[in-house]
This record gives sequence, C-alpha cells and structure tokens, in this order.
Amino acid sequence: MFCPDDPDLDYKMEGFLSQIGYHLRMKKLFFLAILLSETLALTQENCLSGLPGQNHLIEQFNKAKSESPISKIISEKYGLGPKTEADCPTCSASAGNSNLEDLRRITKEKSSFKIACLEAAAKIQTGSKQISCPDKKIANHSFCYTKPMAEYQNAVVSEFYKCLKSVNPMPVTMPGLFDIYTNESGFKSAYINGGGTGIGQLTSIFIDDLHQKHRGYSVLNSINTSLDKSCESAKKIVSKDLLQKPTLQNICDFTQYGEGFERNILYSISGMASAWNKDYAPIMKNYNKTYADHPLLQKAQEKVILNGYGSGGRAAGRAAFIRLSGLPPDKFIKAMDKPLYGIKKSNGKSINLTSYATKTKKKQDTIGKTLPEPLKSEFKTEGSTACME
Amino acid sequence: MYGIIFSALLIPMFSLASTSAIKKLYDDFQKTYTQTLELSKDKILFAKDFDNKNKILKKKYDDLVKSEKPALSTEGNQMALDIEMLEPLEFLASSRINKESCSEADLLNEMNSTSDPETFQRIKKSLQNLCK
Repeated sequence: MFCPDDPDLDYKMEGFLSQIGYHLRMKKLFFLAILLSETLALTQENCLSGLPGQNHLIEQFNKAKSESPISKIISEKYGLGPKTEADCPTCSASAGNSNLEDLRRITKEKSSFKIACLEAAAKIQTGSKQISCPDKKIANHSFCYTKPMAEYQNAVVSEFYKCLKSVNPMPVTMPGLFDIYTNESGFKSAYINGGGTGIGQLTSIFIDDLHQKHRGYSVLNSINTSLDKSCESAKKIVSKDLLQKPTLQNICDFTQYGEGFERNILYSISGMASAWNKDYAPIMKNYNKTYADHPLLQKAQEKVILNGYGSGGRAAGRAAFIRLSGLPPDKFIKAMDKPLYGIKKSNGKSINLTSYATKTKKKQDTIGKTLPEPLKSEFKTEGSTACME
Repeated sequence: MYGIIFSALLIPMFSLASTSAIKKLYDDFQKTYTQTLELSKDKILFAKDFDNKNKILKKKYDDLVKSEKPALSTEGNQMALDIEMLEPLEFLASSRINKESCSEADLLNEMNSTSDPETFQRIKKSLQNLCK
C-alpha cells in the first residue's frame, strides 16, 4: 500500500491519517453514546427508597452482578440475569419478553417475599447514616435502592435461609426474617447506626460470638461442610471466613454487594440458629415437651429468638421467656407483643423485656398501612405471612 | 348485699398485702444481689459463695412468683432479668478460672450489654476482679 518511491505517497498518507482520525472520532462518539445511555439508565432507575441520582449502590450492585462469583450463582439460580432469547430457545421472538418472564418463573428457584412487601419495607424510616464502599465513608446519604436490588436481596435471603434450614433446623421462618430486616434497616444494605451495620445491623460481639468454638462455630462449620446445593454460595463466604475471621474494621465486608451484603444476611441467619442452639432451646426444653402438639409452638419459639435478636439483648430475651413460660403458645405469642417492664433504674427508665417484639409489632402495623389491597387486608390478619409468595 | 361489700373490701386488702410482700421480697433480693456482685476475689472461695448466693436469689424469685399471681409484677420482671444477667458469673463459678473461661464469661456478658447496661457494667467489674 505504501511504497517509499511512490510519488503519491504524501497524498495517500494524508488520506490514511484522515481515515484514522475519522475512525477515532467515531469511536469517541460511540463511547460517549454508551456512557450517556448508561448514565441515563442510572438516572432513570426508579428508587423504591433514596433519591434519584444517588447512584452509589446501583453502581456497586451492577459491578457485583458482573464480577462476584456469589452474586453470579444466586442471580443465575433465581433467574435474575439478563433476559434474552438465548435464555429460552423454545420461546418465539414474537411472544416477546412476557413469554420469557413466564418461563423464567417456572424454571428458576422462587424467592420468598412478595416484591410489594419489600417495596413497603424500603419506605420504612431509618436513620440517614449510610456507608459508601470501598472507601468506607459514612455520611448522610440517601442512596437510591431499586427493584432489581430488592429482587436480588429477596433471592439472597431465600437461598441462605434454605441453606441454614438444611444444616441447622431452627424455628425461625421467612416471615420472621422479613420482620427482622424490616425492623433493623428497612432492607437497606448500607445503613449504619451506632454499632449496628448493614441490613441485619450486626455488631462486633454478634460476629465474635459466631466464631467462638463453644458458640456459633459449629453452625458456620456445618455450612462449610454441607453438600446441600442451597449452600453453594454461602460456602464461598464461610470457607474464607473460617480461615480468617472478618471484622467490622473492614466494614464493607458486611455491607458491599458482591460479598459483604451477602455475608451480613448469612451471619444474621446463622446467628439466630446459634442463639437457638445455645441460648433458647436449652431453657425451653420443658416448655417444648409440654406443648409438643400445640400448633403454635413453633411460632412461640420463633418469637423468643426474634425478641433476643434485637436491642433488648440476650438476657432480656431469656428473661422474657422465663416470665411468660406459664402461658400456652397462643397466649404466650400475644403476651410477647406487649411490654414487660422492670423496675425504674437510676436513669429513670425501666427496662422492657419484650422491647424488640413490641417494636416489631409497631413496625408491622406501619407497613401494613402502606400495602396495596388485597395484600393490605391479608397483612392485617396474617402479619408478614401475607408477604410470602 | 353485705357479702358483696365485704368481698369488695377484701380484694384490695389482699392485693395490698401481696404488693407489700412482693416489695419486701424484691428489696431482700436486691440486697443479696449486691452482695453477690461483691463476692470474694479469692478464686476458690468465689465458686462456693456464688453458688450459695445464687440459690438464695433463685429461691426469692420463686417465692415472688407464688405471690404475684394472677398478674406479673415489675419486680418479678426485674428479678428474672437480674438472674439472667448473672449467667457469666455462674459460668465462671462452674469452671476453672483461667484465661479461656474468663474470655468466655466476658463474651457472655458482652452479649447482655444492651439488656441492662447498669448491671452489665457491675458484672464486668466483678469479672475483671476475678480474672486478674
């Protein structure tokens, strides 16, 4: 093409260079268009909570979906990946996306919570301190939280719950988990409040407890050695953590999508399993025997675990059970939703042994009011059970 | 007619008697509780002393439960919590006091820190004395 003796060399070179220039300009334009469309897509995301334009979590979430092995396994399993014709060779192009959506629902694992309930939970008011990762900056943010994030969170909770139930049966149910995450953070993965971190508001002592040989270690270890398919993604977290315990010093390890947010869910459910094993099942032994045939026994057991999870703490959780253990499960459950005050302390305040259970009841009432019908009426009579798919 | 008036007077009288019995049991309980938290720093004596005091505390709670029926009292709620808060010391009293058992007791106490912050601090101090 180019010969040094060619008299038209200068002309040819000029043309060649201008062609390169043209390609480069087109390339630039092309990238600009992509950037613009991505930015537009980000700003056009509807926020279930938070403000449009505060896209930190959206970016974090998108990165996790493409890079994190944990997110990939869960997204794939629950059909949260891209919906294209390639996902469904038998779907006709004319049937369009609705056909694909239907197929996705039939063939993939089903998440447990109704999205309408997660939307309502996201609107629950919490404090405004949120963390950005990986820079660990805690500030008054109002990160946009979107429906795809809610769907992904739903899948993570469903998957890890299945795993825990397979390795360490316990009385906590999915409606119970819905109450916990609504109460703790309104399902906000980046929410920080005092010592509480992320969706499950984990504390350092809660994490330490799970890693103690005589306390929660057996739960983590049983996940690590499990052959159950539902533990595949959980094992990726636990196998790493058993070699080196994660701490809240690296706070993003408990909030960031891709591994941190997922760890937060896994630890909160594992912590409840461990609390059942070590703190509550032993003191409820006689009660469980007496009411073994009662249809509401499991619900009563769950109330005890959930009450101990929150700010009331372990001793108050155990004391509440001891105080109400004379009641059969149906009456016990109702009594747990009412305050059980102690004597006034030097600060003029009384301790409420059922503070967490009563707080949960109040939040449930708030959520119930914001749900669309007929879910609203169902929630009024059934509580969070109405939020299950 | 007189029967109704008599019953109407009798019920508050019983209730008053029960309230004062509960109050007395609670005050006695608290005295023993304070002594329990200030037990000997001697590791060998501690186990025996703690066991005795803990039995007294549990007996007082059982007595209160018998007096408080049908309604639960705030005193009873507080006593049940106070007994639960003692678990780290109970654990230490039943183990050989060494670095490992001390760290375990400390963790149990930390897990109760939000249940009753005042008592948590008192027990923390007792644990520090015993685990020196």
